[in-house]
Parts: sequence; structure tokens; C-alpha cells
Amino acid sequence: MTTREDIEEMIHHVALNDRAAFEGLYAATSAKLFGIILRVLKDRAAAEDVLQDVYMRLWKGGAQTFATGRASPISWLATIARNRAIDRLRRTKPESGLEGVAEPADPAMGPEDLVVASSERAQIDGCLDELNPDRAAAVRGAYLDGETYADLAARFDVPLNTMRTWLRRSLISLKDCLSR
Amino acid sequence: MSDESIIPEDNDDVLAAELSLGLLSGDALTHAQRRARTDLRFASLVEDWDIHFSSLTETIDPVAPPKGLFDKIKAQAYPESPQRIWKKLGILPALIGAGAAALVLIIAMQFGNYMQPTTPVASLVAEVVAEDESIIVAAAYVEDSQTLFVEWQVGDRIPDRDVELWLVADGDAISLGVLSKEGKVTEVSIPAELRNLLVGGALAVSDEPLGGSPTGVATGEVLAVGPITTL
Repeated sequence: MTTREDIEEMIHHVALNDRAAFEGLYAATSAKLFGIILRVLKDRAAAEDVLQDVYMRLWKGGAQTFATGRASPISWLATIARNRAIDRLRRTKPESGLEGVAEPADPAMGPEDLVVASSERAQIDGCLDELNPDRAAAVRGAYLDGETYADLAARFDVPLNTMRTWLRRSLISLKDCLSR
Repeated sequence: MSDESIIPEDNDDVLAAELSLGLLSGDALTHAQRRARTDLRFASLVEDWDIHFSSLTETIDPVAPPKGLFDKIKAQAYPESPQRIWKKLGILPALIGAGAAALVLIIAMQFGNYMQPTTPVASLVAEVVAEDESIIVAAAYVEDSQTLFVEWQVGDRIPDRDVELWLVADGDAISLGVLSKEGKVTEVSIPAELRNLLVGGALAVSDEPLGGSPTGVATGEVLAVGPITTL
């Protein structure tokens, strides 16, 4: 079982260009990150490119920016993977929406090489549940599908400014809830 | 009463959340990203949101990447790359991308004074990035020694060609010479008459014949461009 401390240790060693640690980190985290990137991009070839890019960046200095204490290492890595995937999505966004594109699944590939304890139960889920369901869906859509204000306005069929105001209010409510 | 009045434009928490979610675009995005790099309090708000939102990925099932992928990564990663010089300069290249760029930079202290009598401090940096981010060249200028340190970090070099570095200022491109091969840091001494042009200028790299452009202007494709930023 790979613990949070193990992964932290590996990231710190990757920062020192320790190849064994890099290989260990990849073995322990790549399936989770690939899952996240695939969830965002829904395109296997693009997801492979982004995964490669994420690990290259970690190796080439990115790992040095990890600070112990704030984010858990897996949350930090998940943020990087998600952000890189969203960047990629923005560059290649097709005309039509991504709704309804089937998520690729490969039953032959199991998650056996990743076991990471999820220490903090997702507080944000509880707080999103307190929002109007449409608005919670908008926040999730922005985070996981890279939807912009314009995309969300189109999806919920409201003017752009209305969507912006909705979402800003929701973010304030979220913040209040998260700081309770 | 308009809805906007209820939510002040300068609500940093909201702005940080918008940046973290990726909702911003255009000038608003540029402005917020700059703040995340320079304003530690704001950067920490963005990080708080990053942490909260990242737990939305907890329910996503892992998917094993294809077997050969890590071999490709290793092949690309293991040509030696001198990260140490960046540490000595007290900066780290911005490698993380949207939202999390905040986590970068800073940190001279940690590589402190026991290494050498005076730690060189970079005053200007540039990240020279191709439009599709297939190429990243990082640069940092150290005032004390009037030296620009440049490293080709990401991207394939074209065989039997050189990469030439250009300072773009006031509409002119001035050659700063060719870059060392991949994995080596190039040190460029900046002559006095060019120093003032760095602030507000940009760096660019172009594909050139071996030895650099024979004409003094870029003859090949401009591979990547990036503005020079004051730290």
C-alpha cells in the first residue's frame, strides 16, 4: 500500500532527479492521473500525450515546486493533471459539445498499481450538495469538463452575465460552507 | 439593482475560484495569473480552491496507461538536464501550467548562503513557449553579472540545425546568439546597450542553419515567443 508519506517522499526525490523515485512515482500515481486526464479529454491518444507531458514537467523541475503540508501529494498531482488536460482541451476544442461522448473504458486494465488512501473525505461534495443542483452541476462542469462561462450559459440557456452572477454567488456560498 | 453590485468585482476569493476552475479568459485571465505569481496571499487562495476542487477527482477510477508510455517518458527525461543552476538562481521555471503557476518561483532562501558568498538573484524571467506548448525555453536574467541564463527544457531539437535566441524590443529582433544543445544552460552576456530593452521586451527562438542566421535576421521558422517579466 502506497501511503501519502511514500508519495511525498517520492516527489521530493524526483525533485533531486532520482530516477528510481521517478519510476516509483509513475508506478504509484500514473493510473490515477491517466483516469483523471481521460475523464476530462475523453480521447485516449490525447490523454497519453498529456500524461507524458505531466510527468516530464514533474521531472524537469515541477516536482521542486511541491510544498509539503498544504495539498496532499495526490491532490497536488491531480490538480496538475486536471489543469494540463483542461489546457489541452481548450486548444483542441471541437465545434460541438462533448456531451454524450462515451467514456473509453478498458476492462483489461485494472487500478492495481494505485492504492492511495483518501485521507480527507471530500468536503466539497457536501458543500456542493447545499447548492441548487444546476449550480453544483455548473461548478463540476467547469472543473471536470473545462466548461467556460459561455459554455455554461449555453448549456443552461441563460444569458452570459446571469451565468456569471449565478456562479459567483455559488462560489461565495461554497466558500462559506468550506470554511465552516 | 443589478446583480453585479452584490458581488464586488474585487472579491479575491471568487476571482481565485474562477482562476482555479478555469473560467477566466482574455485580460482577466492574464491579470489573475500574474497576481497568482506575484501576490502570495492571492496565490494561497488559489491553492485552497485547487485543493478543494481536486477532491472532485477522488471518485474518478484509475485507468492504467499503456505499457510503453513510461519508456517514452524515460527516453525524453533522462538526457541530463542541469536543474541546479535554476536552484542557485533562486527561481524555478514555471512548469505547472494553468492555475497552479502560483506554486512556482520565489524561494531563494531555501538554497541559502552556505553555498556561496552571494546567491545570484534573478530580476527578470521569461518562459518562451510554442503555441502548442511543444517547446519550452526558460530564461532568467541576473543583474549582478549581466547574464541571461537560457535553457531549452521541453521539445525536440531539429538535427543539424541550430536554435537562435532573439531579443524582441521596439519592433526589432536582436540576435543573442545560438543556444547550446538540449540539456545545457546557455549563458548570454548582455551588453550595456541592450539591458534597458529587456524590461518590457520579449524573447523568441527561431530555427536556423548551424551557427545561426547568416543574415542577422531570423531566416527560419520562429519556434516560440515569450514576454520578459520582472520579478
